[in-house]
Amino acid sequence: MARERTPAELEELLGAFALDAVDAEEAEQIERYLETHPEARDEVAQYRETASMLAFAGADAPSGLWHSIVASLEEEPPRLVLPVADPTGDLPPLRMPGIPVRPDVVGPEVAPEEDRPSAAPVVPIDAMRSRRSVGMRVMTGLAAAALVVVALLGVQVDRQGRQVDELTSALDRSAIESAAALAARTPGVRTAEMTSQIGGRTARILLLPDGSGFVTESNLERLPAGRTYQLWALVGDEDDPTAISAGVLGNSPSTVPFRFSGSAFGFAITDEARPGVVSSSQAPVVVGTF
Amino acid sequence: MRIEDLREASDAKLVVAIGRYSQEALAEAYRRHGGAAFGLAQRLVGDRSMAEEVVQEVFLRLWNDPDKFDPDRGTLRSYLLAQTHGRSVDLIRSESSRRRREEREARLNAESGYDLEREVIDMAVGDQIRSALATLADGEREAIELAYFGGHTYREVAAMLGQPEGTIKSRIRSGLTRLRAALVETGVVGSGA
Repeated sequence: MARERTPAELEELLGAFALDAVDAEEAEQIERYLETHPEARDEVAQYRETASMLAFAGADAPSGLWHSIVASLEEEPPRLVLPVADPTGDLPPLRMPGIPVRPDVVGPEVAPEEDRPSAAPVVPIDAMRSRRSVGMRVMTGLAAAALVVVALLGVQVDRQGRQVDELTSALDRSAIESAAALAARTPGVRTAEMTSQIGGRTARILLLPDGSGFVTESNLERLPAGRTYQLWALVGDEDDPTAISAGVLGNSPSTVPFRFSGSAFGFAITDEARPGVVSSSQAPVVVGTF
Repeated sequence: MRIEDLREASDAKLVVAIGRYSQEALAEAYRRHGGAAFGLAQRLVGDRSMAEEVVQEVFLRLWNDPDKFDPDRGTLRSYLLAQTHGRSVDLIRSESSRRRREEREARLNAESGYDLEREVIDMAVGDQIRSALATLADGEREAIELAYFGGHTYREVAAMLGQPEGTIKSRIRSGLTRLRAALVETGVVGSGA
């Protein structure tokens, strides 16, 4: 059984610990010690900062390595291709209810992969934020950077993360609203008015020539926690559309940016039980074409 | 956040953006620190493909768990390099890479051995770091070199240098303290954590 070290012995090991130069059993004891000794934690952080200065700056990291990193990221852009018949004939064609599809599409008529529009990146927005909240420590760090803005707004910001988070959200919202207003006045912007068949739900799509766009003027009802709206670009033949995910919108979208660089004739929004679904069986809440 | 804004963003803002699944923010973090991480990993594991694996894992960790980074406890660079160092050390201490490591050490010993000055020679703040290194006693510097760049435990360092373990522990700690004080004095690192 491992010998329990005294605080003095553990303190003496902090330098070696910061350089990963202790064995696993010692590291475990030190980590436990650090949990209750903030001064020791600071000391280790300072040693690591110092050691990092010794690390060879190196040349640029290999670009191929970046491609490997991107390829293995957890959040792949969701992609939905409708209607596509299962080439094996075992599965029925996927359908998005409410979007007209040609019933006679079968395997041989499906466009080859290389002819299909590429999937658009998912825009990380509200639903993602709620699902993956960056810790308050990071938000506290952000407070320093936002100091000037905070002073201008006359807002008393302390180091409580909740207030910082609210401020950040407000700044984000304000910037997004401004960007959407600017986009609406930009020459070449395409506008699609989205409507629902029932319920009077509406939203507007603004799509700029460079592929950046906004969902705006939305009166979509707030969804229960855990559910989210998802935006789909409709491409290809209007009678035989292909739907490609263009982003997750959160459960209460007002104005939300997205990016879609393909050639879309319209957009649809669905209500999903989880963010970033790859395929949808939901009827669109609203649909609109340019 | 626009790409141009990301170029100017602080570490904390970058990590917030990464927390919101911004691949552009992760790309910016990689642009800033990927080279240093790769250089350190390659120096430690002595193998390009293994170094790439380490760096890939480190950046994936940042993507998956951005809140592990605490800006109050240091820079993003030091966080990523600490992760890189830890993962590299895990690798070179594993049984499967023991033989590779021995071969690499034999090769290094046949060449010039560890040379901290050579490690920092291309850094923008290389002069200040070299000056800081000069404040270390030889024994301190040697112990830090073997532990940090060699990936050895202090016990292994003690055995290699024929010194008591307690002496090596003390030298690493006092050397890092002295080095930090010198770097703070020259303004290379801040006086906080």
